[in-house]
Amino acid sequence: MSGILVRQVSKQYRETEAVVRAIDALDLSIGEGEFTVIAGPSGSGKTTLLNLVGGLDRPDTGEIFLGDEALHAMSESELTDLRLRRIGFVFQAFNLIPVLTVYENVQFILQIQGVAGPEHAPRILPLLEELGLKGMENRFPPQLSGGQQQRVAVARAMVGQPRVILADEPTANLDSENAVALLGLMKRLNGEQGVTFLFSSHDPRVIDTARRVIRLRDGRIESDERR
Amino acid sequence: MILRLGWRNLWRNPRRTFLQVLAVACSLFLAVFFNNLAFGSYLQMIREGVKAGSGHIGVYHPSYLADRKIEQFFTVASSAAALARIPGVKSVFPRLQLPGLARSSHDSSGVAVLGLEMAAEAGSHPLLEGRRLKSGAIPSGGRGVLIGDRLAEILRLRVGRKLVVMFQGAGGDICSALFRVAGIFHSGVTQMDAGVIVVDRKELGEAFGAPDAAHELAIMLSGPDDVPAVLEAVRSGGCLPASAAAFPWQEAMPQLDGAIRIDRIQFRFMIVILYLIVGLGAANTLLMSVMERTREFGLFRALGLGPRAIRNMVVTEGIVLGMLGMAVGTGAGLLATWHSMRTGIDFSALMGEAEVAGMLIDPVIYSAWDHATTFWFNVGMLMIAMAASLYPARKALQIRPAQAMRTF
Repeated sequence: MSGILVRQVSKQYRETEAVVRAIDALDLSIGEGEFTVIAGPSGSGKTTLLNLVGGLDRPDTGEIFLGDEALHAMSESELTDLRLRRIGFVFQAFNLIPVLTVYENVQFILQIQGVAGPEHAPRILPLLEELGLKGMENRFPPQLSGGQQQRVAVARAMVGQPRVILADEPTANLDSENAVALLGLMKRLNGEQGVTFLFSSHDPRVIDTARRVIRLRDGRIESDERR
Repeated sequence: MILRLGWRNLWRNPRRTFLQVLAVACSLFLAVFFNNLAFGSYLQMIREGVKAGSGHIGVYHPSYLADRKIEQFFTVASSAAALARIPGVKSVFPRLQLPGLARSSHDSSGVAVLGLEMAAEAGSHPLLEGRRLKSGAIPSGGRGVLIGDRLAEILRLRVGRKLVVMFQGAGGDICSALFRVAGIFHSGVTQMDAGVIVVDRKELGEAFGAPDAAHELAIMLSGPDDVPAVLEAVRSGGCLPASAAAFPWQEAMPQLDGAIRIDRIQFRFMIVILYLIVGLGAANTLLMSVMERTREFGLFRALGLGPRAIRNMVVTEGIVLGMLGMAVGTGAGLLATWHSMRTGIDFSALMGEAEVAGMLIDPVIYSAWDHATTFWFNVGMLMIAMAASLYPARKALQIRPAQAMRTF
């Protein structure tokens, strides 16, 4: 089971003198293998929700389940392990490790997962080929275009065989052509491998691709549309 | 992967890394080279000290070192020859040492009369080295004596002139003996130049009233490392004179031993200070490196890298930084040691004639290998590099992924 269940979750931040309620008593359920977009204007709580679902932040109140695992009750080290084994992340700013090559950036996840060395190449090389990165294995991130870097980030998110991929504004730094290509790729992986995808975006191209669009406003769900 | 990351991270800011490596390397160079130079100078001090002093092992009346009384002498007989046969012993020199009063026709002065076996000690005792003679020659025996140039000035003596030396005899009565100046030396040690008369031991012994008497048997070995084993053999060999005991040079010449110890402690204290400065520099370098990569450490945490791996990553950077500097610094230090072992470094312009603990030390210092200390200097630097990385590592662990990355 790799569905996501968010129950009565609230999260607020203290900014200088004001308290900002980023997520307000939110309930949400996402089924296994869904391809869902969290949409909404800036400050609506998209990133906070993804941080909470990804175990990068803790809710003030409420419960979050990933499958049958209760994130809200986990220790820091349990959350770290969960992120490593169950969740893949794709970031808006790519966030590749600049001193590692394309191959090493992807291999990094297998290394920290403790996957045996001989298994690395058979898992990494087909993935890079599938993502159109064949021949770029030994390049460093600064030598790649934005679209190529984001595809490396997707490869890194996929190689650990997670059940959930969380992507925050993945097309924000890409041109139209690369954005469409990336979305097509993710949708294909979702269809072929049944991985649950949860995006945050206000990009209409991303929103149009999704099978389910959840719109947030002021930390609450404004609408939940299935297509 | 962690090692590879650590290595590459260091070269993200090559200038900063280079400067820090240089700081570590310079410290190690200074520590290794100057320690080996100091070690060489200690060996030189011991070598010179044992020649003029007790030998590597000194044989004395058990209370002589504390009391220095005239009557605490012993008869040498066959013991010198027997001791010389012990494996590791190079030579044995009996010596008679008497406080006395030297008188010329012009003046008188308190002196230490040193009875040596001139022929045997000719190539060994510093006062019998030809290069220290200002005039005359080294007497081969008889009533010819060597005196210091300062004493010669005080008594207004020249080579060939006579002097009378008065001292307490073996039986407690006052004795006097007439000698003739055969040579005048300049040692550079004021105490010796103004107050020592070197006489043939047998001549002095006869005047003393005990022809084969000695206060000291100076046992010379190949080097100070042999002392423990040979001392054991000397003590258990049964060939010591009656009422005499053997002492290592450290007990026989505590001033020299103390001077070396104090110098060594001061040097090591300076190294500790130097290491602390280097450690702070390394900590600063690593901390800056961590702070510049806050977002990246947030990413590592987000991807599931555990605290231990993150700490290892930062500590690895510290160790790599330290080891680079250690390799360069130790290499340079060993090279400089090797060079100065052959050519020596002449400090005469800085210190003139060097006197340490009443002994003259050659101002040309030759380095010597002190492998054990070199090893520990490197271990110490490695520990400093590791310690310097702990605080930055702690800072890296405090980075919260969500905060560090702002957008996740």
